[in-house]
Amino acid sequence: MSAPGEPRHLLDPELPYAMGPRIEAGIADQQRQRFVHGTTRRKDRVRRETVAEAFGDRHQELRKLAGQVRHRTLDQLDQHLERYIAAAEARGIQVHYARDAAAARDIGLRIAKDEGIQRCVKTKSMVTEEIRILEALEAVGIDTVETDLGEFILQLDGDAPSHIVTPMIHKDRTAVGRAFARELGVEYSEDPQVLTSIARRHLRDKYRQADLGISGANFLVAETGEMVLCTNEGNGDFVVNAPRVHIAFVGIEKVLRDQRDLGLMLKLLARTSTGQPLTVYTTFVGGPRQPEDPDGPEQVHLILLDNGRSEILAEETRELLRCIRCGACLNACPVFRKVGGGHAYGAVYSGPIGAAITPLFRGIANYPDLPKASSLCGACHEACPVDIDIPVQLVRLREAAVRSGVGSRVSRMVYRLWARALGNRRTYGLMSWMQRLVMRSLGRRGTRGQRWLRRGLGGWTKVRDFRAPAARSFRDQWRRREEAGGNG
Amino acid sequence: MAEPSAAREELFGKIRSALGGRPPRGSEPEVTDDLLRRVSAENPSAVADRFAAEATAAGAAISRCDRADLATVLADLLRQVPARSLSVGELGAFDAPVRDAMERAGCQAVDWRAHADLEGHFAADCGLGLADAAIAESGTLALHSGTDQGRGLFLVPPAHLALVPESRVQADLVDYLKEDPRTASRVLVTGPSKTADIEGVLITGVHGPERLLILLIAGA
Repeated sequence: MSAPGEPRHLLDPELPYAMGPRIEAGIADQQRQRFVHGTTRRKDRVRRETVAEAFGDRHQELRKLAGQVRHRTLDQLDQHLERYIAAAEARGIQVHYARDAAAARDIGLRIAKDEGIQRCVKTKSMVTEEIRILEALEAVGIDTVETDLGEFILQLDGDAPSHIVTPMIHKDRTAVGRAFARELGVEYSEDPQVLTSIARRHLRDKYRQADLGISGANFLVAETGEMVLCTNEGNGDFVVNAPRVHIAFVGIEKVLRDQRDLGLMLKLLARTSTGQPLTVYTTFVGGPRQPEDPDGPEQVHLILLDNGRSEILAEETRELLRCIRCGACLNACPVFRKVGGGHAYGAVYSGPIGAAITPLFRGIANYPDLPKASSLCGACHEACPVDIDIPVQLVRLREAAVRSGVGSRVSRMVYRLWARALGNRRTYGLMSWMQRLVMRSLGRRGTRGQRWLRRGLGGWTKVRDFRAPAARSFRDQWRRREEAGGNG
Repeated sequence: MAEPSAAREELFGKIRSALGGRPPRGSEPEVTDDLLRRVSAENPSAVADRFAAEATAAGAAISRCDRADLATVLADLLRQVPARSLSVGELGAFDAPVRDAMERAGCQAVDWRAHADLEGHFAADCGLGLADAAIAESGTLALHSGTDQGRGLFLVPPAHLALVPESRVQADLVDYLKEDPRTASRVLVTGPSKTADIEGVLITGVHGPERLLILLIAGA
């Protein structure tokens, strides 16, 4: 949440957050539509081709096993987390515990203050977005740079990521060129190679000057005590190796039991996310430099973050914590595509997984639209390498929303009346007769009736269409045929 | 080092409360090598060939030589990069032929160990190190960045040249993950540094090296 006086962040809007306006903007933005459609469809196709080629018939078995392994680990999270902490501390990693975002920021700032930190480099991490650590560091005068190319560009341009893996799918090269010319004082270019070289030079200086590196982690391996980071650009490795102090912020759900489980996850993660067998760099952080090491950070800190995860750990929602942040569900989701990517979700976690966990993290009353932003087609479930049944979780949230009184009073009343009418044969018959009457007479195109309908029920009818119903109900037709002896 | 702190107790209290003391449902999931393994370890020569193919697919430039030809082939490679100044790691038994190759190609070694951080590597054209292991399944190098090569050699210079003895090539990721080498840092490298963040256009050499060269050494 923003502190008073801070500018609102795209992914931290006014609450309760209504998706409508951004959805309309996303649909109207032709360029964004082209980009998001193109990217997500390609990545979804690449995922399917890659896992088929790599695993063949075994793929379904592997992803179900991965789901069971993640779930089993969560079932015993206290034990495995304890084992992890002991192993990590034995390697010299300093472990801290943060109940929420504010606590995590406080711990991070305290370490930075104690160590006299002046400059920080940061690698892409969903958790660090969640806790808004960047703003907190800048507020105390620590110059902090996002080093992931996409995040660096977004930071420069005052923009926010629209996808959890490829954050810039909504932005084109000309926007990047303009941002660089404006903020870095370089000559305008829109050649991606040139732009990347500019960023590379600029960021190398930052690595050399930084005394603090901030990262997340993909996995915490209880057997060895290591943190594992999966990246492609190499910035992650600069961030965890170059500065004097390294702080990793990691959600408690990221624990794996052992290296065997790690192998299973690694085999699935990059293939599912980007079609690679592994990300270019799979980095194992095993502690600060040892006396015999020539380089490496003097201190390695791990801040374990709860921030609502221990509540989601409850049995009904536990499977959501299996998520390994691969982004496959975003790429598979027709809704994500249609609304133009992550900004429409108004939260750090977008797409199907975001629609399920954001109301749990932030309250269903604050994000009432998210569980409804789905046709429950199941593409996300099918794509998920750890077999999370996201549609079931979205339906659960819809139920919870209704029970807790979230949503329009009118629609609740309508549903209540409808339920009552359905309970009795006569009222059912009366209701369907009235429905047919209204839809046939008032629903005809161009009539005054239709305009009235649109005005009154516009919010509902704008995105729905029905055929005009038949003149007689099915039961009526059946009865007539029976009487005429025709139904066989 | 671990005294029970209030914050730790609070966290574990919440976790245990959510788990409700109930035992996990269903049977223990079995993660077996058979299910995960994609490359068989049976034929070392096939494994070496597979490594070469997968590393190439990942964007590395592979060369192969016999142990006896190492100095000659390496000298050629160094000239091609072209590498003038090198960050060199500990090379063990390969130290002599590598020094020989460097002399023939006119390369200097930078003294990267003089710096406590990665600073020393910025002066190098190329990092030259010995891989601790390699994984055929994905064409991956395993670099245990402890004493031998530090953490910057594979990362900072614009090119990385890795020596891979064929005997160190393991078939599958599951084989590599059987051990814990207990280093403060290790990394699995699969191809040169990449991104596709700008309009999905694939660019190499973002932060890490633009070029990855691998010399696969038979009979070693």
